[in-house]
Amino acid sequence: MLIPCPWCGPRDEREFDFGGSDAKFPSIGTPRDSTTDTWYEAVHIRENARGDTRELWYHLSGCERWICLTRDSVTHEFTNASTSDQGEHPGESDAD
Amino acid sequence: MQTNRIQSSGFGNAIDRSRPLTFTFDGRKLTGYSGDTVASALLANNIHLVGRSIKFHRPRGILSCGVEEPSAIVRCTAPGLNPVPNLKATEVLLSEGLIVESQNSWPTRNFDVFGLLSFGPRFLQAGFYYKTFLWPHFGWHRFYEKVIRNFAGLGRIRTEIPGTGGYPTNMDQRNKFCQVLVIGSGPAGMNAALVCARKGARVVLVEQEPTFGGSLLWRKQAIGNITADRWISDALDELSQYPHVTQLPRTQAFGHYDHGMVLAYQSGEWPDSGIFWKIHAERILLASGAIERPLVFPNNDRPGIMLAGAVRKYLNRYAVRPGRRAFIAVADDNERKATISDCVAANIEIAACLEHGQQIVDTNGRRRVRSVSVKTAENKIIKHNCDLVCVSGGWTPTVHLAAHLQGNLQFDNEVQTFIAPEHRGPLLSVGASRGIFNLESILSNSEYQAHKAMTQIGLSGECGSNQTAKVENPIDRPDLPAGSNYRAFVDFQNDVTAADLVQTVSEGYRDIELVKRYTATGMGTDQGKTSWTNAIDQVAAATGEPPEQLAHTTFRPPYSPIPFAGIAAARTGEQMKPIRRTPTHRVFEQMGCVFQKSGDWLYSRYFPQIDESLEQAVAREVQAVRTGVGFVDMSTLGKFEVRGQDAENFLSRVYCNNVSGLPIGKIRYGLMLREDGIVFDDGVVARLGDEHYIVTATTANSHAVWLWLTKLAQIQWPALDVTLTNVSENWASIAIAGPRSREILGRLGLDIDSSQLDFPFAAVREGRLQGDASCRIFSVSYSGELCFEVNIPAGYTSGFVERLLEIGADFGITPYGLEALDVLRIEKGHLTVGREIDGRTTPGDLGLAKMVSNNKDFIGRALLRRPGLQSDDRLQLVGLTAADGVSEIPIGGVLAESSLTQSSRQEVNGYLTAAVFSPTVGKSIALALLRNGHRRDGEELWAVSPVAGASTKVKVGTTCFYDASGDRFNA
Repeated sequence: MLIPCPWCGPRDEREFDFGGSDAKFPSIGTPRDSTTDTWYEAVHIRENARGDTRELWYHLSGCERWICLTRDSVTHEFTNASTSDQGEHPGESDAD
Repeated sequence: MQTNRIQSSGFGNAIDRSRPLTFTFDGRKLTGYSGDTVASALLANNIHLVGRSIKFHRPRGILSCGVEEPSAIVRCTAPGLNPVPNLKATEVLLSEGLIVESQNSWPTRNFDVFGLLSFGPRFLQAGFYYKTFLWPHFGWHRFYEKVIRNFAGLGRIRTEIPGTGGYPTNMDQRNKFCQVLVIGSGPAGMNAALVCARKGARVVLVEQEPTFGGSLLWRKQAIGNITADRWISDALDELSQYPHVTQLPRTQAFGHYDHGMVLAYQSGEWPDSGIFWKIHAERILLASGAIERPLVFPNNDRPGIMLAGAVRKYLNRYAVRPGRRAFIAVADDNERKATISDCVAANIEIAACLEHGQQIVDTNGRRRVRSVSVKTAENKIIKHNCDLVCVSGGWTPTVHLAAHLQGNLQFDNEVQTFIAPEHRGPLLSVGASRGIFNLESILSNSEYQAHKAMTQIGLSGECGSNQTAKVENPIDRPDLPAGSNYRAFVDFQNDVTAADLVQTVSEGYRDIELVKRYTATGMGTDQGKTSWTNAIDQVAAATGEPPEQLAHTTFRPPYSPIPFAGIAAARTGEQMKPIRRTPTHRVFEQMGCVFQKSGDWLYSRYFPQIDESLEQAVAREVQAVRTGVGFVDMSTLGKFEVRGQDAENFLSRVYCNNVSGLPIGKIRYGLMLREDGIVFDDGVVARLGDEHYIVTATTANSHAVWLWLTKLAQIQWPALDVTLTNVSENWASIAIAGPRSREILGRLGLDIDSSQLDFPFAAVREGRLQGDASCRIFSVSYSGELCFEVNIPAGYTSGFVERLLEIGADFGITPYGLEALDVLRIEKGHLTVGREIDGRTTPGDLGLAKMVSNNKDFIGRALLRRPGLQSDDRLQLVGLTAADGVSEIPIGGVLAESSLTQSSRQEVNGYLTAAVFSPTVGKSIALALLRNGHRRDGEELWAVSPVAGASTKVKVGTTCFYDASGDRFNA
């Protein structure tokens, strides 16, 4: 697979570590969120969707950043790559 | 004497008659020419019988002239190399001195004992093994297997030459990037490559054979008024002029993967070189052509029965006349005419042709076909004497690569087989591989598809009109005669007959994938290239379903076998998995250190003195640390700097114990949980500045903890102001441990005060070493003794260790390794990842429940509360000592209520995580995870090792065997 790293461009999958689903944890320190049930849902209940899935990859042999990607689990087509912390494509902001 | 070689120079455009070669086949010395394959050279020497079939040991010859060959499987070697089994004689290029041997025959190819299997009634029918060797249940392993292995299986791996020396090793792996990859260089591929190259596209053209041109090389059809040979050489000349075109001959594209990646293997000089290509293409034009299908009739497997196209190829390409008198059974009218014309031109007498409405009912000839019996439309049987039968049931498009990525093929009624549908990916099928067989149509189709690819990647293309699959004359394949056709072979390599398929369907295996697995149809080195369409037809007939209703079996890479050595290429040994060495490695080596592998690392194990055993060395090293001073390499620990306004908040969320409010210059032990509440890792948290921390991770988890921390910081809590830096490799870490370590520290020339008040336990100091190298010193202890972990820039390590030895000489400073480190930590009951922290234990299980903070939220808190993780009935960490104080506790034992017995099964209540003889305590001690262990203090039970055949009575106690109050590291 060619993984579209927002920082490094399309790169071979061998450069990456897979980081699982892009599931957000309940927020820390908020008692309402931080119950066993909400954490159970967040940690153990996964969609395993046929089609678009949001997932994380770590660009080990590259920028060493975590990136979020949308991958079609059937065709392996990637859409919507974003850096983890900006939530937007770094190239886009540069292009302005 | 090459009796079958045609002397006229009008034949044989593949061979170079000026370069004769010698080779041997089953010990017989033969000759051929440069350019020959083993198959063409054998046929030139009038050898048809090449080997025996896998199941019935029937004589088998050469069916085809290429990658699809199911029957002519040989073992080849060159002097000084190990033989390589299961090679297709039709693929191996002849080389000087090549040693070729037949397979599956015993004692000889001409007389095979097991060949008797093919006589008599049906013996090895489909599912034979499954049905026959069920009883008694132990029989398979005890005796059936041993007998069957002798005459089953394909080929033998032999290693006359030991080591890897006798195997092909000269393999390379390369990447190639292009805009258009063209697979196949027949008329479709060559024309498509020309169109793309003229548009300026970066093109890679791969061809599995040594010569470009594909079917044009032997079909000899003129293109317009230009001969085929001329057209090919003009095209190659033009392509060679373009610097952006790469031609790869002898390269087989064997797998199509995501995002336009195609893997290809280019064979070099047989057998010891090759290149494994990873070709990344924006568009792939699949012009892989078609493979001829044989006809299914009784005894259709005799040597001398060959595919019509293969016969033409042997005549025209290799100037080899495979027979003198041929019977022609070709379903397609045009193909039949062309076959007859080529045979006649090569002086092959035509015995007869199979006409429409006729059936072949039998053939004769033990080691070579002698005659064909034909039933006419009037039900008359006519016997034709011949020594060659040219068969063809039409051509099957080579669709494999189009189907590798879940591309389901569709049945095309016109071509009467499966072809690739229009793909939405980067692959476009061109020419015969999409069912177009007419040369003019192939050329116009390849132009259209090439323009389409150009347009898709943004190079202007002028799309003309498309050409869809067209067959000029519907193919009229002769029917199988009625009756049980248990010698009418569908799959030659696996000896699957038409009768087997009928029987399989009648036993209920109707799905084509099940049929494949029950009968082995389509398995083996040829992967059913000549059999899969015939098999579908037979199954369709047996089930009564039309073939378009049947699916096909899944096509997977590789298209054809490729050497494992090519996949591995240079990535062997350390190039596959490099060994990591710590900064101390060189100086430790000089000190006579014995190293051991630990994960990726080569780690110092112990430092033996002359004539000292491992046990003696470890006891000495342990004693030095307990009574004097020693030092150990801790450089493999993960070391991560954490900076930023929210660094404290971040760490507070990550560790389950309280780490906030840590004063600058102080250290705290940190326990990290996974989000499900299980212990992940432990280490220390040291505060270096206001917004500056450094944390450590265990060696084994170093990378995992780094990924975890960065993921939390970047993904889960991007709003936190925290910056992580991995400095694991920047700092070497030497722990100086023992009651006299403070004295050593005082003499190192540090610009920090090392007196107790200024450097208490659990503190960190930054300074310089002799006014030069910066250093960080952590007073933490894994050994239980007073200990200072000195971090220095990795490049200074050797000098530092040498200085340490010099300063410490008066104190008897003793380097120690992993073995002594382990003894020391077991004596203190300290934890190790992989032993006690094994991915199943909670803080409570490890006796650390009190560490878990109740005053804050952290990763793992919520799910740690689950009742299952809080239950008393869990395995809990305890310390064990031998009850009699003398016996040795067996390593790797389990815990039971009674000693090891021969007869009874024991209930196991836990297992040992570590067991060692403690020189300090003077007896065997162990750590163990014991069910409900924390409430079993003082109880006695048995540590049992069925593997070692030993059991020892042990007493349950605390995990700390030494200095439970911790006075020693506060000294």
